[in-house]
Amino acid sequence: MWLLGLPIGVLLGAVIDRGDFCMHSAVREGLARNGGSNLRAYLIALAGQLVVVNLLALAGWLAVSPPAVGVLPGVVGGLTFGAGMIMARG
Amino acid sequence: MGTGSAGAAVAAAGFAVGGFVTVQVWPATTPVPASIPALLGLPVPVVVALAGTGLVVAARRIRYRPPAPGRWGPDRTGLALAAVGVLAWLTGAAADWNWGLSMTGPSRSLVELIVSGSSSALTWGTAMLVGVPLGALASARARGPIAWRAPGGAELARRLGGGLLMGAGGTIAAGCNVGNALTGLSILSVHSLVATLAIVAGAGLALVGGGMTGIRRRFSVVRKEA
Repeated sequence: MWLLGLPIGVLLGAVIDRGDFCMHSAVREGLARNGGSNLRAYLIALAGQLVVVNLLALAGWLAVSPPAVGVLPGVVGGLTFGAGMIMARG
Repeated sequence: MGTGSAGAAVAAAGFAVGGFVTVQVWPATTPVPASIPALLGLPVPVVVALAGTGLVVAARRIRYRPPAPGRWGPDRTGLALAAVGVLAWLTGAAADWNWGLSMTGPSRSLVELIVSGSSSALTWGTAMLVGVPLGALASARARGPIAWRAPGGAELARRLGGGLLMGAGGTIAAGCNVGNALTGLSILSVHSLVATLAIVAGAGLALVGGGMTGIRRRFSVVRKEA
């Protein structure tokens, strides 16, 4: 069943290309507070996924469980990733 | 600790007493609830409705330049990403992945697969990751002629260094700007909220630390290389 991931990845790659979408750019646009299509697309993607996934979960068709909270790993790892993202320009 | 020294014995006694005293006065730490609705003490549907509405209202206020020919506008892109994200959750569940879109874990697994040939690295996520450049390439080719760009040596070193930090940070934080900021937040994970805020802060600090002045202006110098 792991091969089911392949068509999803292909779809994701195609959407990223067609939408000229980039999470790095979305973060930058958010920091600049000056608008931008990547931030807008990200917020809509999050809203859409949030609503549908939670409806599926409430209907009992999908099991979702948020992972345990690790504040220190989240903060340290997140800061490192964010800085690396700027350095890698990607 | 040293051996056979009175100083060490005193230090050890102090260590024990210090711990004993502290546990009496320091408030017991209760585990942080894993989901935002649990943290807020609100029902899931209420939080989903509020967050969903808030996100759409915020998104619709954001100005943007019209897309280049052959590309989609942000609303269509966002809805398409949401659809792929939902399909990821559904097919992932069928493959015991039990998560949605993600990049850090699968990237790590791909290296594991190449280095050790371990079949445990053959997951839904690894297959998904391999599909991304294929889909992007096919889509780009369908739009027109494509070209391979390669930056020079110093720039390549910078990119590699940044990539290593991304891998390390994404692994420590159990997810990157996809696994946490898109997938984890969609199931209202408190951990993903913490990690997402830290990613934004880390990016902001790196931009400021990178000697950039006129932050507001510079931040919007968008580089699309991902």
